[in-house]
Amino acid sequence: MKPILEVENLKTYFFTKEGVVKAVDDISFHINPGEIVGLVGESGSGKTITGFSILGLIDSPGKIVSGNIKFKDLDLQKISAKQMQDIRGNRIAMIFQDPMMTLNPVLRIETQMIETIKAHNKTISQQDAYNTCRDALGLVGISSPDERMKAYPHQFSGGMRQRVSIAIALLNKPDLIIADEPTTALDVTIQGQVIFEMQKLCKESGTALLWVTHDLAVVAGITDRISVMYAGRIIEQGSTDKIINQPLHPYTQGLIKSVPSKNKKGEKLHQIDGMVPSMFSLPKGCAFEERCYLRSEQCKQEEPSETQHTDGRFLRCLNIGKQT
Amino acid sequence: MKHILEVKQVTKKFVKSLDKTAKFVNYFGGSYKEEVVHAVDDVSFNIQSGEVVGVVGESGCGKSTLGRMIAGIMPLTKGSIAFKEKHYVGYVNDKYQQDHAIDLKIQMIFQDPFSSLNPRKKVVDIISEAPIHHQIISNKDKKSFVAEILNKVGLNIDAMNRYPHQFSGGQRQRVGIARALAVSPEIVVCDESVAALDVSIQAQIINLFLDLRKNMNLTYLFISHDMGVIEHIADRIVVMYLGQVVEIASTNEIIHQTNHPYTKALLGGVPTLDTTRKIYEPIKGEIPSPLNPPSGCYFHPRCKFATEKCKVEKPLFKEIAPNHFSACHLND
Repeated sequence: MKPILEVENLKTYFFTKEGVVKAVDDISFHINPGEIVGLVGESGSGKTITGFSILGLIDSPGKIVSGNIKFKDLDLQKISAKQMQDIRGNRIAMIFQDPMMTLNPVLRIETQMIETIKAHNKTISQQDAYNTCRDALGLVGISSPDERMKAYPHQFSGGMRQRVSIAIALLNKPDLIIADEPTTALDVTIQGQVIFEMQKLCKESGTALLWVTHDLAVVAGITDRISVMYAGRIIEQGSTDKIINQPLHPYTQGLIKSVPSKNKKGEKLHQIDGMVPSMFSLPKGCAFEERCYLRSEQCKQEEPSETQHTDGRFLRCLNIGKQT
Repeated sequence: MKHILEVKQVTKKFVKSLDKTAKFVNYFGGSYKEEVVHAVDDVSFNIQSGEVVGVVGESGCGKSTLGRMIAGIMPLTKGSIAFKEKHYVGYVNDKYQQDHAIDLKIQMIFQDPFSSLNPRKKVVDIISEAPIHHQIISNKDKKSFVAEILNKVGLNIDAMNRYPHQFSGGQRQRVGIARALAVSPEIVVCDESVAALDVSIQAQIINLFLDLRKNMNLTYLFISHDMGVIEHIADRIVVMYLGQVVEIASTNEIIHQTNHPYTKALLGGVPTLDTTRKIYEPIKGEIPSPLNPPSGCYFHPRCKFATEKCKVEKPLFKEIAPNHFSACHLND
């Protein structure tokens, strides 16, 4: 199967006064049609910037330094701003973390939704656009959509607002949705509802989904593949089953072990000592070296490159390569 | 065992009083009513010495308000909070009844490590402010005192001369913990204290809480929306919904013999590290507005098992097994 999105050796750097921040440094991954891929990492690991890079939303002082982003047969780096506009919100949609920030507070839901359709389909009639929007609201589980279309964002609760932004993302039946922490701001019960809707909708419409999150538990149950990011690099990627059940990279192992439900109640949690290095002064070798239990002298000097493990997953670690 | 803290029928009402126009209209026979929110409604439970009590619930269920009242930073509308059976916390009916002997015995650690520390003060001053004010230490001892506390929370001693913005989120939370511990409290109220942290840092802070509990003999009231964290750290769990307690039991009972449908829904919604395709079976609907809560059982519009009785009659909160309390008509 031909992947719908292919990211190759993407490097997005920010050139600030204090120095160059390599927010995304040489990452490669792909998404197949209808697939759900998880992009996991702690804050500052570059996962959001990856999403922004795909949609061409990087502003100065940030810049995509090198790499290819291929969407179907299009090279997203080479196309014009006009062409990019046709893709953004139409073929690739994005859902952001905070639904209060994505919706315009002074416009009715109706106006904002119809705008999304009309931006990409100039010939559609107002009535048809309205009907499509109303059906989309119904689809994401909002009751009495006709009344809700007339409402303003502040009249909705957080969970409802997030549903509206999901509905907007789905309006033009995109081939790919990038969801950036879509459930982080929501309550557990509402999070369950939103995950449930997203799962159902992706299955029904065959939309591929890139789920960006810091929470391994959320992606464990819904994704096909997972990529784990640390300090701007993907350090391990492979099928969800392998990553969650047999993690190989010391960082992934640490992350999984530190989830409370994996530990015995009341006992000390497994912890990864230390903290993420400053992005301004990344170490010369492996960025995880200081916190790693497998570290060797070589790790300090040499930056590990991405290698394929025998079971098909990709790893960035000098020591695991040695063992096999 | 003796209770270290007894929370008895505590209620907190927030009233939005009428504006001038409404009062004017009412004067001529209008019928505008004041809007009243029962943020916490008739909550009773107690905490044993050395215990960790977890409070869970969705946002808006009143768990933070409860924590603030216990920490003595918000007046009560009704009820009482007794510390060691004789001292009372906070205000009752706007009358200040706090016993100064216990001012420092209950401390609070907040959710956001960014906004809960004064950005213009050095760590040494943040931590030593309260002990100096309460004359626990003198001004000249403050450096050695702060050094000792920083050591306890796992921070380097040279951290004391830095400002909050020079720390990462996890370190800042450690400073917040150090500040709370500086006055040697017996009870610590942790309001979503690990929610803003990354997974790997969260584990470090939870471990710190567990260590401190052992070493300093602390009692925790741990407020969180995260069932995973609560399940790990708490001995007993209080489940709240719309300002009321719906279930209280030991952690083990809550997890394995869940009684209330709301608790079941909360537990069912927690994503786990299970790679088998999970089909989420979410509870329908959202938390109702506390301005006009539903009749009968507050949970009935979202409950799978709701009957006619649930719509009209409020269920009693009663003991259904030893030390397991629940408010649901299904137990009758």
